[in-house]
Amino acid sequence: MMGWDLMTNHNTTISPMQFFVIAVNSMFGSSLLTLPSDLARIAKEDMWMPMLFGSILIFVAFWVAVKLSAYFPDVTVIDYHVLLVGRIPGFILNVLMILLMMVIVGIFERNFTIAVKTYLLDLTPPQVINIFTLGLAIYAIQYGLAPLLRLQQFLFAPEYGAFLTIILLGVLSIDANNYQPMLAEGITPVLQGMIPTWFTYTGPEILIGFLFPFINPKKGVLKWGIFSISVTACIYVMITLIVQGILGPTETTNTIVPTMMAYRYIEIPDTFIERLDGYLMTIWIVISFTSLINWLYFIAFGIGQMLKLESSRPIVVLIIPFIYYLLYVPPNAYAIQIITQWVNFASLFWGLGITPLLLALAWLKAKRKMPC
Amino acid sequence: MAKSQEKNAMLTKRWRKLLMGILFLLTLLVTGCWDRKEIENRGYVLGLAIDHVVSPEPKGLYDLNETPQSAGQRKYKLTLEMPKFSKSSETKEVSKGQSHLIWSGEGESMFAINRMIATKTYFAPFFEDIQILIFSEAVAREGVGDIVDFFLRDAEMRRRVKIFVTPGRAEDILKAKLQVEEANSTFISKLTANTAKAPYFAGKAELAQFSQAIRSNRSFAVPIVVVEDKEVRLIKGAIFNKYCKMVGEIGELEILGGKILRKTLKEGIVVVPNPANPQHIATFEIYEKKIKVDSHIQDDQVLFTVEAVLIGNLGENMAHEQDAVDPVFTKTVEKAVAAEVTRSIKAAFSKQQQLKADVTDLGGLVHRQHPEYWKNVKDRWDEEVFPMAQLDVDIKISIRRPVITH
Repeated sequence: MMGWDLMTNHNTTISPMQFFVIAVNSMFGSSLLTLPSDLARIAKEDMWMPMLFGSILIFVAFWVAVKLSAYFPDVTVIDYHVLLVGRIPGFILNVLMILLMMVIVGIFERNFTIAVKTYLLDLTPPQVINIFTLGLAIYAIQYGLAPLLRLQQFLFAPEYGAFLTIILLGVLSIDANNYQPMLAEGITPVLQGMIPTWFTYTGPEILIGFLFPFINPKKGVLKWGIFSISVTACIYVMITLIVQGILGPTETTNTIVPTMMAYRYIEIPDTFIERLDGYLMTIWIVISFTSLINWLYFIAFGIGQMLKLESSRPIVVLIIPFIYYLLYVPPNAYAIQIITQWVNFASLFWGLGITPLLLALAWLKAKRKMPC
Repeated sequence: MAKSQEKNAMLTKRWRKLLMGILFLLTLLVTGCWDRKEIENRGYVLGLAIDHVVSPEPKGLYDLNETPQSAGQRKYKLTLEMPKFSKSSETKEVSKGQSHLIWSGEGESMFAINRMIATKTYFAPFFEDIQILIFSEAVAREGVGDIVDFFLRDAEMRRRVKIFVTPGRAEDILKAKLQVEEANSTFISKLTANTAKAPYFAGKAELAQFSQAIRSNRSFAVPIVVVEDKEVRLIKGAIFNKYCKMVGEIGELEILGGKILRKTLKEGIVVVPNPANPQHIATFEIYEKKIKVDSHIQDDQVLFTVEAVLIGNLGENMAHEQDAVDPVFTKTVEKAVAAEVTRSIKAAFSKQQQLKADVTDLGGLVHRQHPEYWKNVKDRWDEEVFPMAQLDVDIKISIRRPVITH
């Protein structure tokens, strides 16, 4: 095996900036395309505010996760769960966390397929899209984090440069009337809207548990992690504002994939700029794929750690059929919506319920060990 | 230990070989795009016309227009216009002769009619390049909210599709032989680009705005298109109430006022009797505007105030003896133009009140400026509150120059 690989070589490190790249890519899942619809339903003209304030929740969860990991600088989340709560409860926690990650990946992939099938490859059977995406993911993950990270670092600037350019072109079609009245229903809908945004931001607070022992220097972790959340929050708020400006809250509520719908509307007469949904989709597929492989990699890595395997590579091949099965469990769009809500709550409970409890436990244990 | 490592290395090599083999096989399977469809097999729909079925009886031996439907009636006739491509030696060009192909079907479900048309032509209808959608007035008056559902739901459909109403048969607009060689739908679509120059028709009404109005229970206006003697023209505006039923028309001179109320006026001209010689006329060309429309709530009554400064040229002065830069003359023209613009605004406002259809979205203004009040009135806005609203208009005209002659 060339270079370092978390799957096989635990003595290697990544820089905080490399963690930034992984964190940003992991957050950009498929919810980017569907989220404005939920926000518009709850917060109407203030739909961009929950997106902004929702990032505060993930800041808190990330801070807690970093502090918790700092108590166990040499082991991953899989190990410190066992160290903190014991073998069996720790094992249960690990299983629950891995299952949660798998369902998150399942929802990502299912929404990804719906968007690609609706707006790009309407004749291709969804199963073919899934098999090729997941198959490519198996191949990409087989060689560990090193090539994945190199690929992500290499693509990061051109990928997000093009992505931002396309997103900003949306400004040309907005109608300022769609932003008013502001806070007409008070602050309550804004606060309620923060909950569904969690699913959009989820990623760094979970992945840091796996990566913390390998990050060097550890001093920059919090700074770069918060920077990654800030960058993502800026892009999400920008997209929400543009979608709101183009479609308006009522139309956004009634649209399943509002982001694509909004960018389909953009057209600058007498120029080549029209129907940007195709361009957006092309870039988004790349971003979404990097998100998928990150999540899949850490699921396999986590399972490998739980089973004390020397290498997690075979696990990737074994979990793909399970993920594929999960994709087709929800029978329809309504079921996906309900499952997404539950997974959102579960993930929120994990980040702001379980992890702070574990931190408190770690703090207590550390305090007891201290000499009086 | 060393044996185990050797064994692992062997396994890894085997895995690599297997993966390489699979990848090689995949290249055989993925050489083409699954969604590939040759251009000659696509039926690029440029325009759609929706009419009522005139006579459901077949004229010939077979009933070629009937759409098989297990539910619904034979109610609407959907006509599609597609470009006609000539089969020249190398390139695909639009034929110099008849520039379009017309296909139609009859039924109630737009989706089913569309699929039925695919039994008449091997290039199945493809809506990604559609330009216009025309309703006959009869269909529009009956209501279009249900009909457009298919077009709003279909992923191929462009949200920039322009909507029109025509007093006669909508299919006649697509079938007409115009002076131009391009397809009628493309030509009519391009005509809307002149909405700024000539604000005599109800602007560009696109499927996106149509959809927003339907979902927000809001009234809206769409331009009327007519065809005669190889000429097509956009005139007036068809007013739809919040139930998506056409309830009346707004005249061409009132549309200018309507666009000021909606703050969408860009350019335009106003013709007034010439103060120097009332037998002749003077024409003011608007090229700059500052429009402010506000809403005020007084004793549970809504008052709208319009303050506008329209800046432009004296585009035409038919009284040759009059010096066009004379300040007294200019002031008088400005007053006359202001009076005409005020009349136009008030006429547009009272027409909407009369029809109980707030197509200039003044309700949206009340929503933005008085959200608490709006909560109480939004459900009875068009029917009860808007017809009782008051309007106060203050128009100032500024003639900057008489173009290039005195």
